Amino acid sequence: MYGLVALGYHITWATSRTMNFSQGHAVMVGAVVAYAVFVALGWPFPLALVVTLVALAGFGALVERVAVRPFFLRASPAWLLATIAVGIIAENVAQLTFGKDARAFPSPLMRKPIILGSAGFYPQELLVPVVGLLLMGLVQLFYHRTAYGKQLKAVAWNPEAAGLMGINIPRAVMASYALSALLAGVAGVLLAPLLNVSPQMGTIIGLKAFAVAIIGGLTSAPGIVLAGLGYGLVESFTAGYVSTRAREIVGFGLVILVLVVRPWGLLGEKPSRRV
Amino acid sequence: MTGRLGWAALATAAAVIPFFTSNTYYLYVVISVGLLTIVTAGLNVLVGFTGQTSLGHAGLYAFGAYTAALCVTRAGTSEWIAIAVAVVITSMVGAAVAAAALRVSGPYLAMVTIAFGLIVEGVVIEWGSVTGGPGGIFNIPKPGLRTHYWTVMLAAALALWLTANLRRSAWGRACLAVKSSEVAAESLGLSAYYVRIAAFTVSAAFAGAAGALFTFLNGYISPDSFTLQTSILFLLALLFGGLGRIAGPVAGSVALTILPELLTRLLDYRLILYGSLLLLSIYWLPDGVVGAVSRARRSRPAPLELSLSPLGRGQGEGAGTLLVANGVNLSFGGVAALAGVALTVNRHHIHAVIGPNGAGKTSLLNVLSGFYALQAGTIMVDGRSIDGLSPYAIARHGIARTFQTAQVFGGLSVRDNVAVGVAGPRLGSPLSALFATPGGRARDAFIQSRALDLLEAFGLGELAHEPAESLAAGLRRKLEIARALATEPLLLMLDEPAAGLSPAEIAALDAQLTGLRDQGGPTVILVEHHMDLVMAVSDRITVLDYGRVIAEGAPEEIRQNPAVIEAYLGATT
Amino acid sequence: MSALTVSSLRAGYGAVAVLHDVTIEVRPGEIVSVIGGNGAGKTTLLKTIAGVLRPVTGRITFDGRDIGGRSSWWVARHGIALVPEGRGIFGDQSVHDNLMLGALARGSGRDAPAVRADLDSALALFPALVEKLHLPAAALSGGQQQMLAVARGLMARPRVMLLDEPSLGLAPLLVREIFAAIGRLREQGVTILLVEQMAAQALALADRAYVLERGRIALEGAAATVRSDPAVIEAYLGRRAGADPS
Repeated sequence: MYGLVALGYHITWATSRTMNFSQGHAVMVGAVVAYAVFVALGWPFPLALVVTLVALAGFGALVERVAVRPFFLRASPAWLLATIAVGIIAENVAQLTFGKDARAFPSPLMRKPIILGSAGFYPQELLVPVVGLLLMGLVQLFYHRTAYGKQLKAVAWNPEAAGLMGINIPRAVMASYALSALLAGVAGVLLAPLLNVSPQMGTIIGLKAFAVAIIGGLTSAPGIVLAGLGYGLVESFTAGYVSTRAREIVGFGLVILVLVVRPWGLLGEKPSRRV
Repeated sequence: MTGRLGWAALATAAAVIPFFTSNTYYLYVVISVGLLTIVTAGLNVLVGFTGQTSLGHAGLYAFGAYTAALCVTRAGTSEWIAIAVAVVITSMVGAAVAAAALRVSGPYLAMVTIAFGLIVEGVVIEWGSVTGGPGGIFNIPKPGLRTHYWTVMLAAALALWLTANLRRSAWGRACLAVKSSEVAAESLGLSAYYVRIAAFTVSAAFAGAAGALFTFLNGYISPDSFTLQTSILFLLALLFGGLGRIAGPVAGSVALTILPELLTRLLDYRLILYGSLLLLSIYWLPDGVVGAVSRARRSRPAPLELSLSPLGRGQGEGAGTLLVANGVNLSFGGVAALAGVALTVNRHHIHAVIGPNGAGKTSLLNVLSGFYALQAGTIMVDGRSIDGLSPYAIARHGIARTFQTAQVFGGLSVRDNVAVGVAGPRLGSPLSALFATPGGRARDAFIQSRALDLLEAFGLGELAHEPAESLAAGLRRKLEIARALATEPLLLMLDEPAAGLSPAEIAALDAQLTGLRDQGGPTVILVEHHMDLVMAVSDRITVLDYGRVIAEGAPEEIRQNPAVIEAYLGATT
Repeated sequence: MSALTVSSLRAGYGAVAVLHDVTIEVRPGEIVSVIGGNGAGKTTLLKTIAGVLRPVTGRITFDGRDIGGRSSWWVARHGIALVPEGRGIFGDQSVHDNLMLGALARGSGRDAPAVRADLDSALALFPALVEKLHLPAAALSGGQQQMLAVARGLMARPRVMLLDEPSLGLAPLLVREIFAAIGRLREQGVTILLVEQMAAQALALADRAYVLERGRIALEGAAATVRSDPAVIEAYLGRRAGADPS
């Protein structure tokens, strides 16, 4: 399930060599908005989903405008801190409007667990990796097959030359941020029934997804999805055999290990050194 | 002058506060400012000087705090021993983390440091038998608040003094050099990796000290104090105060400790406030509050004539060959840049390498200086093989170089640029730099005077205190040559030193190069397009075309060589 | 009536001005060449016209409209194509996709048949690219990348093409091919501003020329006049003679 969120890091990285460090907060915003329109206002689910996704695309565009654009063309790394700042603000706003407490998010797929041998799981849990794989496929298609995807790739490779081709760079970067936040919104809606909705949920999801993105390699969507699955497995094993807390320790230990051995991620491209 | 007054006023304010108030709350707030100052002063060494971002310093802070707490509660040591142990242990942890983390940079480094912080937090919560778990450690013997006030204030002052010393030392210059241009720093013999580890370790020691002092402030510690938010707060205080400035940590700590206290009614909006503050400081205060206050005085450098040659002393006397390269191959993605290149350079010669654009001249320099890994062939310098060595190791063999686009260290003055070259990898002990020991200061005085001598010889003396980034392109090139000569190299490699120079400046460069040779200076490999200069100064010339040597010989022979004429004729018609 | 005029331009990187006072004019259908040493400001001039850099002061007009300070994508979409020094090839995408990215900035003829026709004529100009069409551009040799860059510039159907050192890093034979291709472009009515270090070839091809020295125009005139100027021979043509005793 982290793979889905982690794809968001990949998308902005693949366009602008920057990313939204508050991607986890975007997931939170997605869950909160979905809760607001679906549970609180009682709108029908499809409409709620559309509203959520539109809102999230807007959120992504806002993050780009506020925290990334001022620094992107100057190649200043300040976007890193600026996106964190936006995430902090988003969390606080959510606290003020939503309240600090976690709330349950009802889903028809959470009513009856499927029993397989001794293990049981909810259909919702199955839905997450399926949607994740599907979206990964779509993202891959988008970047490699569509004209617009190729434009975004060109921006990543050489923004200056892409501008000379007539590509509106800020708009392209904004589009990638909107898309990335949109994925976070999907993740938010999918995860809300599993995790309960709270303003604090974003940080840890974002961090784990970031870990997954780094392990898989920021430049590789399949690597990220693979790493997401692997990370989930390692976590549930550790949680099952050692303890719940230990899973975080093991998980992040894994990140450090991978980076020491393969600094560019499992399936990422090795960056070349230029003199 | 105003700077000194400011420091004196600050010290006085800190000193008189306890006499004016008996309200422990105020003392507590000022102590918090002091602790934050210590951490951010250390972080400043890493982020401000060296340019590496850490989001895991709360983990190091936790290490200091828990180590100190365990020392007094379990081992029964005194407060002072506990602090010392905390500093030592945290430094060691910092060095270990750095050795792993600094293999990566940018967002990857941020991730590793975040991961470290979270692991520490997780372990602290989980390992209840030692750390007390989520509840933390209670009943730690603590000194009186007033006593502790003095301790922390002195420690904060010490922290600032240490970073100021460091900034002025060879270490400080090395940090800024690595931040500004890793490539150029390595070409002077500095290992960027090693310098960054040292900076991380220093910042860890500061965080450990602050953590230990934090333990003795409250008498209890719990994991809540060491979260990712704490790490972000550290970074925010530094950014807000002023990155890379000695006073930055003080300003940032004061603002970020006192502001929330003043706005307690707005507790619910605290995160919004922090986030906005962070955004605002990134937008409008790239140099922080301190940077915005201090007036930058800058005068335009006057144009200068190039004169006198510097005395670059070449070691390894005697005739014979200095450099022998054989069968050097290099290809990028299947396209051969160098194919079986052989190059023999005699001692004290000026050996030119010429050829059309894209012939592989710069690639050859990059291989010789270790920036490109040798794919096949051998390179011997002064009888020793340099195959497979990293750039800084090759630089330590006495090979210095300049770059096609001059790589001066932006954050440093002209003199300090050369001083980085004079010191090279010989930075001395970090401790003597931090504490500005008499020995360290004497070393530094020597380095600076040697740097000034070189600048005088290059006619750059008047610009010694200008920031290097204010120099025009031609002067940057000159500065880069002076800096390379400052390492007293056996071999100096110049990549198109005449590019963009006026005819008069080229004539001066000509005189300088021949002067160097006549005074027994270093051997020179000269990559150059300007044929008049090449023909005038070279002892021998190697001609490259399509990554192959097509001719080699004395200037006269080259001038007559049909293959060379064709390579240029083809290009000129 | 001129296609492109630059007047009293001052520009550079950050606080450092590279161009101090540059005035040039390019008339429709002309090849105008700018020559000068390394660091004279040739690339800066082209980048400023193309909108990559902002002018500090001075005007850039194109078809009577002030385009100074416009973004590079705006300029590209209004008929000026810069083929950058170092080529700016998108190495991770195929040759074909690179060319199609070039077509993005077309003002007219955006329909598929028109693009297809231009693709064919660009490939006719550089036949070496045909068999590489579906390889990643990074796999091309330096010369082929340069051809790709020029061809990609053509895909935009520009009215003015800015060429920055098209001969850079090319083998002598390829240099001749590139210059021949530039000559053919003129016959197709493309206006060209050509920046070159290989002054002799550039001057042989151009109608008019400017000599840029240290950010200022030192000399201007008909290419033939500039070519026979003693100072130009000394500085930019004579240097080659150093290696060429004939």
